Amino acid sequence: MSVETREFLLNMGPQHPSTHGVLRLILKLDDELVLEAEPVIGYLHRGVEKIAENRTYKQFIPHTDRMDYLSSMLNNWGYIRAVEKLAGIEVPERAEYIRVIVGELNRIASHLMSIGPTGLDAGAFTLFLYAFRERERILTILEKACGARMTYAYFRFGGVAQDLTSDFINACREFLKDFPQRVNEYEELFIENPIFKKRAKGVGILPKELALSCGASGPVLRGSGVSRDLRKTESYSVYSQFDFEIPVGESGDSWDRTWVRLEEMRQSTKIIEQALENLPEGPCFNPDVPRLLMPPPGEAYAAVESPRGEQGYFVVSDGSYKPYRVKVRSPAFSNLSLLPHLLPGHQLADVPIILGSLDPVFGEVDR
Amino acid sequence: MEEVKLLGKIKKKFRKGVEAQAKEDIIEVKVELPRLLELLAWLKSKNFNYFSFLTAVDRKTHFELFYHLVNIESGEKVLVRTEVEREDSTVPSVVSLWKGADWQERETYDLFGVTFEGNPSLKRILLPEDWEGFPLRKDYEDPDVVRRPEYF
Amino acid sequence: MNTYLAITLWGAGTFLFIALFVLVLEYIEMKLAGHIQHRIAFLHTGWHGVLQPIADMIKFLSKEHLTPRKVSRFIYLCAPFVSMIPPYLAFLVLPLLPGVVALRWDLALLYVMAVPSLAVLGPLMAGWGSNNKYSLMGGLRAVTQIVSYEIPRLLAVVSVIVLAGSLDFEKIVKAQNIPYLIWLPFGFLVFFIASLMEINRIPFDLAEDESTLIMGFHTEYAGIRWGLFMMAEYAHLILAAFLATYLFLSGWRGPWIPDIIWLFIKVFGLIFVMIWVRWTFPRFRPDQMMDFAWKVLFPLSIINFIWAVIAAVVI
Repeated sequence: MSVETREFLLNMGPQHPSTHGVLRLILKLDDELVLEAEPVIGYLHRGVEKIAENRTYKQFIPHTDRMDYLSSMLNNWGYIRAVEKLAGIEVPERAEYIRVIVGELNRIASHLMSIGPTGLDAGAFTLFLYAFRERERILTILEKACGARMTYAYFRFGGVAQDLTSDFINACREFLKDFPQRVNEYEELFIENPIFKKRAKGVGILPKELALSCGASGPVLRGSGVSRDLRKTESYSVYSQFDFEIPVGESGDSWDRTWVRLEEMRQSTKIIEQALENLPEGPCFNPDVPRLLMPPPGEAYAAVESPRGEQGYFVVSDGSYKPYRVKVRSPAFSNLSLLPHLLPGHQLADVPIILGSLDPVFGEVDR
Repeated sequence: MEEVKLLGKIKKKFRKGVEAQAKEDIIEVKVELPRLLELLAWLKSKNFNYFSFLTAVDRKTHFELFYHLVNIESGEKVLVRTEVEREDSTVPSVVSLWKGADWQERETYDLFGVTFEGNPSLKRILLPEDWEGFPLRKDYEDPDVVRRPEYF
Repeated sequence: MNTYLAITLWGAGTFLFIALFVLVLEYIEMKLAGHIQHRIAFLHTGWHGVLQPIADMIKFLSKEHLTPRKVSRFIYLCAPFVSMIPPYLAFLVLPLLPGVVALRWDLALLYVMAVPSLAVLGPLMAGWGSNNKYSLMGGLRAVTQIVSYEIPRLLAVVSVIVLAGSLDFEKIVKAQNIPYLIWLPFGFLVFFIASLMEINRIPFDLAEDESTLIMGFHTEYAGIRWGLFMMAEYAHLILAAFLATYLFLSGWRGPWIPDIIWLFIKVFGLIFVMIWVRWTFPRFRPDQMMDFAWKVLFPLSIINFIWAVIAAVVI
């Protein structure tokens, strides 16, 4: 009598503790080995691009918040940059510095929210709660800037909605005083933990060509050794005035991607410190921008470096007060298209680790 | 400048059916549908191996497709635009050149109805599989959608 | 008194003692988890949540027993009991207080090694009977895991037997003028780690791997059925702590303080370390854990055994 083994289909359904949102993964498994993986997305599709065609330019700003809801400030920024390019609006320097400060704070918050759940998926519950402790502090600080904790709609064409108070600046400085120690703590507790290293090193190796071919960006691309960060390649806003480095991984495995995110938190801390020191005086928005913005007809594409990668907005205008078409170039969508190529050959227990290191946010993937 | 060199190369290689101009930081190339695949393959061979996005815009009489490509080493960016018929439009797929085109083409098919010939799995990606119609078209009617009044 | 009555009373007493211990342990674990994670767990039920385990018991007892369709009923229903009863049986021969034991027997250690291993059937039955692919995977992983830990653990225990010369707990404790921890440090380490593997605790809890397998083999169990699985896990934990104390830490012996307090200090000390480890480390992947059991623990336990034999001859 011979024992027959069969492959079976496992559905890691839209509701699952570790798919970071609503993702359905149809896995063909041979015992613990993944043979094929097919992601099914679209569970959070809200038709944001169609909505854009029926709102004024300013009314669309809160919609951009809700796409990558973990880094709303940077979403706002991408859209605002595209429209400013289209309409030729200038931004005063103080406003640019404020944008950098809140953008980098948001980047730290988003990376904490990425490393925490990666820890949770790997089994380290405590790291998850520690990351949330820091994230709470950041959200409280950002609340001082604009009144909202998660979806800010803080940016406006030509600047920001309101100026930073001294309360915000003091709270920010307090936070930055002991944050580097915490990052060291996370590194010791989790990233350098031998068990996590065993789980994540050599898992989900992403070759450079595949990453470029799929349009991967952000820590996913930098983990594979490509040093591309829009803050340096395009030096938009005032990033050229700050001194910071881009962490680049070596082998493109999940550990490298998680490590890149940790290092980016450190670099963001540096940027915020420099920005707070050199914050210039001046207006925080451009008073010449009309209330109802009607940019000249044309197309413009602008991108920012969001925690997930290159988030771009392609805005097409026909001269009226409503955008003709807004296309959101979502980094998580491109990163997620790597899954069918990355997962086969790995074990079932590696799937949450790989997914966590790609760090998708489904508001952005599905729009 | 790099852009000017590339512009020169494009103009030399593709005389008919291609117009290229350099805008601020990007090169826009307008190409006719029959020469699209040729142009894209040529750009890939010139090291434009980063496929940023693919989208369509409904211009009421036709669709306009935009391909955004980046050359990582030199930092050059190219925006390729082409015009496509509205009804029964088929565009050659570029999945063989860039793997990331797979999902982007599925999305354009899903929202606009542009068929990509050669895409291995052209089915809906964002909307449910049994959805009828292509929402991002300008003439898309849906009884459940409430139109907001025009204010200005 | 009639011996059967005596045995029944002793048995019931042991069971109640352990059940109480499990409730206390749940409170300790949750409170400790809270403090490690920089938050305060339980404040409202009783002073600092002391009555919380009772509230939890009431919650478990009052939940609806959802049974999925198409389960193999008999296997599904028996699994929690098969998981829970063996560790409780093991406590019958364990001296829970110095000199106080339900059943005095010279082969006590053999019995304690053999009977709890029957509990491997529990996850397997739960996994198969639940008609759920996730549970099945959890059950399979649990079986491979438990099979892997058995041998290193047994070898560590055998090395203690060689040094002590007896299978009876009281004699083993009496033989430890110096705790065997000093003579057999690797033995203690192997035994401790292998025990963590047995009770499915992080870093070895892939059978109930919350992130991939939702709740692993006990996904489809609700209410008191799940409560029984949890009691089984805690009973194994307590058993492991007691065994480690008797075999390696010289049981209740110690200077100055009365014996019973020493016993509880040692047992709770080990439990504290186990809880601490659970909330700190990530978990292993199944194949890496098997690697660890066979390539690291097993050779270590053999070296330890040879060392114990040499030590026994020399001393």
